[in-house]
This record gives sequence, structure tokens and C-alpha cells, in this order.
Amino acid sequence: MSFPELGNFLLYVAFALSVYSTVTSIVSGKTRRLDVTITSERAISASFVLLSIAFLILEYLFLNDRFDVYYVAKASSRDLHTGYKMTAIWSSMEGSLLLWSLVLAAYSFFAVRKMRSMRSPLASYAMSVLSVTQVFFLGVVVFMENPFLYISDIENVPVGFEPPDGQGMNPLLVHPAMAIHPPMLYSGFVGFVVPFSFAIGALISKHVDAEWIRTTRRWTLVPWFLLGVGQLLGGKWAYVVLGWGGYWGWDPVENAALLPWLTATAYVHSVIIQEKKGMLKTWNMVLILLTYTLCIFATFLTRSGVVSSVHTFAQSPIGPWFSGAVTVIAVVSTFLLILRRGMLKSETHYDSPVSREGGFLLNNLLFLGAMFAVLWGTMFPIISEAVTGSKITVGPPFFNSVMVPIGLVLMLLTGVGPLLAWRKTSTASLKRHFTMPTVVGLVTSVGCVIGGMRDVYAIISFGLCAFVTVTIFAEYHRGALARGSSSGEPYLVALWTLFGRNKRRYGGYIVHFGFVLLFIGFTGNAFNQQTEVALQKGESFDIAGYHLVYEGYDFTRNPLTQVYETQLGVYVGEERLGTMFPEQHVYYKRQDQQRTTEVSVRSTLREDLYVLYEGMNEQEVAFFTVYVNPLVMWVWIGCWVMTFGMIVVVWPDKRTEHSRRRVGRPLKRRQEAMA
Amino acid sequence: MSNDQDRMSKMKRFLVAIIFGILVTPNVYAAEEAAVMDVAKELACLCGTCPTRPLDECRCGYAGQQRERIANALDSGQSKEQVIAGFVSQFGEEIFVTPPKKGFNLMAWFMPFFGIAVGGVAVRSVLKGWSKKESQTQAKSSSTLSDEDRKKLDAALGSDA
Repeated sequence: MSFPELGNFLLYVAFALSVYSTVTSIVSGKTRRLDVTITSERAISASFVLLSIAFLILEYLFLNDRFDVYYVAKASSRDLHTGYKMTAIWSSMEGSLLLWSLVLAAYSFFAVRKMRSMRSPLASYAMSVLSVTQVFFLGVVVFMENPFLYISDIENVPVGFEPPDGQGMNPLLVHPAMAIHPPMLYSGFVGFVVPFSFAIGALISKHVDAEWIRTTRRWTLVPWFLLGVGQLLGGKWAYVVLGWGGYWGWDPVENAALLPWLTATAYVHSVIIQEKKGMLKTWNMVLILLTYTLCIFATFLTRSGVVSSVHTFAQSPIGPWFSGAVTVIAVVSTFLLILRRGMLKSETHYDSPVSREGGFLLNNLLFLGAMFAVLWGTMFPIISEAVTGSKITVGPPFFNSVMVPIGLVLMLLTGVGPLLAWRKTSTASLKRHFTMPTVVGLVTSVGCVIGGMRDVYAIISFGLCAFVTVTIFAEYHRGALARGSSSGEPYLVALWTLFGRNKRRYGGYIVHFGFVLLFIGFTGNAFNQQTEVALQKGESFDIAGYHLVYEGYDFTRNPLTQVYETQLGVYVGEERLGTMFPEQHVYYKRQDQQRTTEVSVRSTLREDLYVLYEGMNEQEVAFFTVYVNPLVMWVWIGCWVMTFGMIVVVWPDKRTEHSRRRVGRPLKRRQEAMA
Repeated sequence: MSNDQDRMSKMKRFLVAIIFGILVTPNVYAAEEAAVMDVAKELACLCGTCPTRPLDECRCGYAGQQRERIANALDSGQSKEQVIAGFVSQFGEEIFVTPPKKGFNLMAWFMPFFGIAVGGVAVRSVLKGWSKKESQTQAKSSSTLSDEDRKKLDAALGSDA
């Protein structure tokens, strides 16, 4: 058996195992037989192992330039760098779906290992949801987008036909951020399948107490975080590769990935109310089910080409299958929610809207409102065309004018919410907590105005960022003081133990602070400058205080590309800050002679000087587009800070490891079940 | 592959546009830039490859051509409204970068805030429902801790917030 055949065979076996584990886990949920539970767990683990091997085989085929395999010939080429040969697997449809399946199998595998300690009916039904999802994805991979088929299986060529070289990866995707952006994003999207399957399992098994929430909290935080970072990586790629000077364009596919992130963000907040107060049970269930539905919906939008976008390279006719999946998930979820509505009543402890509960509800309202606004704007061209018959455009200015106000209110709430007390916040407490932050926020805004800033949103935004920053640091300060006075620890020790004692709360504040930094970066957009220039060697121009001199260019040819590397000296006044090298790469071996631009970016905390070399005419006049984008670096810093905060939040806590408990009827041994 | 070919032909158009745009009429362009951008910011770049961006921000060659066209139209004495009308007659309403604020398309602008308002009413009624139940069960729950004490207790016990 050749390697492609082996890979194909493994996919079929993994598919069969997933069907098997679907059936057996349902049986185990119904009969509570231990042997059936164990066999379904083993089937899930085995299918993970088989898919891992299949994936490695595909890697092997890519690394060995096996162009007799259709997918390898389509997505790779001989001269591609080895590292990119490995990442080329997910540069197109078939391989990216296999990666999706593999990530799903990995999540299922680890979820099953985790669930072995509880083996409740809830866990069994959750396994069946994980398995049936795998049946769907593997079904698409095996029967519609199989990466292991030979060219002769697909096209009318003799058996064993192998072209001399592959078509090569789309040059736009040859970039480090693109190598990690898809796996990151998939890990986010796919990860929500675990809380989703737990929610469905809870609804089916009628164990809708807080157990499923406790079990899935970390399983939700991790994909939520990966999805967020995955999107920022996508933004980084767009910023340095696509060369339109920005990192977020409200493109339909960007929007699609944002939708589940917004509902998941609502969930990671409102889940706290359920844990603390036993409230919002139905609502949390709705959020999880909605988040997963939106994940599949986002996949559908990306893959189907229903709306035009920068992701056209990922389109294929599997769209109808995904829209079917979205429908099934939505219908089943709604049906189960209605069926079990009586079991999801709240235990209530509540006094006033000016309370932590009220703050969380407002948070949820705004995140859901933001989700709805993005969804509405993304789908509106289709809706409008269906109603009025004429096409319209919903461009970035629409999203900015709708989302900026929502974002600003959310920012305000980021500062206010954590300081509200549960049940009711007294006026005295409001005064004590908010006087200082409000003063600092107002001073910042006034300072912006005095400094000559005229953009109203930016003035408000900077004020709010200052306000929230003060509230966060005041929280650490108060916490450390309180801890110091009760335990007698010195201030810094107390500050450190705060994190150890309550990772979720104080890690959460770090995430909030990262969010503030992101917002500072976003606000910089209001002050972007751009210009186009045509320069001959030795000529110069000025922008935003920079003086740039075109000093000539170098031409080199490597096995893959012809590289035009221009040199621009950057000055401020008389001082030379350095040289920038914006490049253009021509993929001269490709039939289409595709070009990519290598942007040169000079980043400081204050602003990015971003230069794009567009080309040259016969008189050797070089054309540049130059942007000055203030505060962009804070977006990436904010991303790192959020990452750090998330690590603090999910860092394993020894105390909770021991407090796991079992739910549901204990499993019967086989003999008992038979008796 | 047809996408790549498209992109290639756009790249060619793009370079041609820049060369013509900048070399042939640089002075006219510079003089009128503010007026051109004022029109361009309302229109969308419909080149089909880059994300749909306003014509004043998009730097693709196609957008350059369109700005050139706006400049020429303004030059020939047309008003901003006339220039826009010219684009609409060619491309339809799709040329506006945001949905025109009239007729059915008002829904685009109206619905997000309407959605939040409806959600707000729902949240309000939920809160009312809670406090109603709360007043019925008030006897059961009692709390003698002040906010400050509660916070101290939380911090000391290290309970989740």
C-alpha cells in the first residue's frame, strides 16, 4: 500500500470509528453500561491517533514533493521553503479541512480523558455530540475534499501521472503569520465544540445544574482566547502582506470570525453570574449554543463564497453542506432548550440594577448587540438585494459608525463593572471607587482637546482608556492592601499572592488591561495619514515630520522570486533614523507572474511609518505609498498582555483539581447491566 | 487560478493607473485633492479584489483610476452631486460605500440600535422579574456585611469575582 492509499485508508477507518463512537456513546448514555462507555472512549482516542498519522503522512507527501497526489500538486511546489511546505497543507480547502478534523479529534481526545473521572450520562451524550460532529467533518474530508487522491483519480490523465512541479502555494500566504493564523483560528472555532457538546449533553441528560458550567469553563476560555489571538494574527498578516495599510477591514470573513468571539465574550462574563449566583442558566446555555452555531456559520461564509471577500482562495462547493449543518445545529439546540425550559429556572439573589449582576447583563446586552450589528451589516447586502432587487455596499464606514459607539460603552463598562458589588452597590461605594478614575479620565480627555485633538470619538476613547486603567490598578492596590492587612504580608508579597489566590479575577484584570491597550491602538486609526509619491533616485518627500529620501534599489533573483528591494533613508530633521527596504517580489516561474509587496514598517510606540513599493516605470521612477499609522504597536502589545492574562487565568489551580465530583447515576458493571 | 489571473490583470491596470495618474496630471490632482477626496470618501472601490473600502482610502490601481475620473468630472465644472449621480447611473447604488439612508436601506442603520433597544427592554423586564422574586424571598436571605467587608473577605478567601 502506498502512502497516499494508506492515508486515505486511515481516513476511512477514522470515519467508521466516529460513526461507531456516536452510536456507542448514545447507547452508553441510555444504558449506563461501563463497557459501552469504555469502547466509545477508545474509539474516540483511536480516531485521534489515526488522524494524527494521516496528517503526518500528508506532511510527508508535501515534504517529498509527491505531485502525483492532486492536493500536493495544487498547494505546493519544489522550490517552496521546507517550513512553508509543512504549512502549505492548510493553505487550501482539502488540507485545511483535514486540519480542522484533526483539531476536533484532539479536543475530543482530551475531553474524553478529562471526562473519564466523571463518566456521567452528561459526558456520554457530550461524547456523542463530539463524535457526530467528527462524522460530519470527516465525511466532508473523505467523500468531498479528500487530500489523498491521485491526480489520475480526479482528472483524465493516465494512472501514475506525476507533473514535474506543483502549482505552488498562493504567494500571498507565504508569511509566518499565515502559517500560524489558520491553526490558531481553527483551534478557536473547533474548541467551542466541547462546551457546545457539554451543553447539549446537559440538556439531553437533564443534568442542567452548574456541573456542566464548571466542567466547561476552561474549555471555553481557551478557544475564546485562541479565536481572539487568531484574529489578531490574521490582522497582522493583512497589515504586512496585503499592503492596504490597515489590519482590520470589516471584510465579511473577518466579521464572520468576530461573531462567535463576541457571543463567547458575553458567555465568559455571564458564566460568572451562574457560578456565583445560580442565575442566567438558560441564557448561558443560549450563548454557548449560539456561539457554536456562529462558528459553523462563519465556516460556511468563508467556504461558500456567499459574500465576496479576501478569502476567495478557500471557496468550494461544500457550502450547502455547511448551511445544512448550521440549520441542524440551530434547530436541535432550540428544540432542546424549549424541551428543558422548566429545568433552567434561576435561583435569585438580587437587589438593584446598580450591581455586579446588572453590570454583567449590560455587558451581555452590548456584546450581543455588537454581534447583531456585525451580522446585520455583513448580511445586509444579501437581504437588501432580496428585498429591493438592487445591490448595495456595506463598507467599513458603516461598521465604524455603528461599532465605535458600542465599543466605547463597552470600554466604560470594562472599568465600571468589576467595581460594582454583587446585589447592590451603595452610593458611598460608587463615590469611593470612581472619583479618582473619573477625574483622571476627564483630565486625559481635556488634555487631548488642549493638545489640539478634534476627533470626538478619539477624545472620549482616550479618556475612557485612562479611566479603565486607573480602575484596574486601583483594584490591584486595594486587593494587596486588604490582603496585607489581613495576613500581615508586605505589600509586594501580598500583590503576588493575590494572583495565586484568585487567578481568575486578577488574571481577568490583566486581560481587561490588554483590551485597554488594544483600544488605544484602535483609536490611533482616527489619525492615519497616507500619501502616494513618485520618486527618482535622490529625490525626497516629507510626511508627518519624517523626511524620506529614495536612495535606489537592488535587484536579486532567487529560485522562487525576483526581488526588487528599494532603499529609503528616513530622517527626522537632520538626524538619520535608519533605512527602510520596501520590496516587491515577482514569482517569475508562475504562469501569472504574481507579484507580492513586502511592506517595510518602522514601528515605534508612537506610530508606524509604513512604506509600500508599488513598482517602477521605464524612466526608473519608483512609486511608493506611504502611511503614518499612529499607535498601531499598542494593538500587538495589547495582544501580548491579553495572552499573559489568559495564561494566568487558565493556569491550573491545585485546589480545584481535587474538588471534582461525580454526577448522575453510577455506571453499572456489565454483569449488573445484564442481570 | 482564475483569481490569480484576475489579480494579475488588476496589478497591470494598477501600475498603468499609477503611472498615468501621477505622471500625466500631478498638478491638477494635487490642487483638487481635497475636493476629490470629499467625493471619493462616499464611494466604494468596487474592484472586487481588495475588501470594499472607500475610494479615498483604497490605494489599488482601480481606485486611483476612479479618483482620476472624479477629478476630471470636477474639473469640467460638475458639482459634487452631479459627479456622484454620474457614478450612480453607471454602477447603481452599490457605488455608495454605505447603504443610502432612504427607503428599505434605512433598515441597515436602524436595526442594530433597534436590536439593542429591544434587548434593553428585555433586560429591564428580566431585572424586574428578579427583584419581584427577590422581594418574595427576602426573608430567607440576609446580609450583614458592608461592601467593603465583603471585598476584604473576598480578597482574603481568594474567591472568584
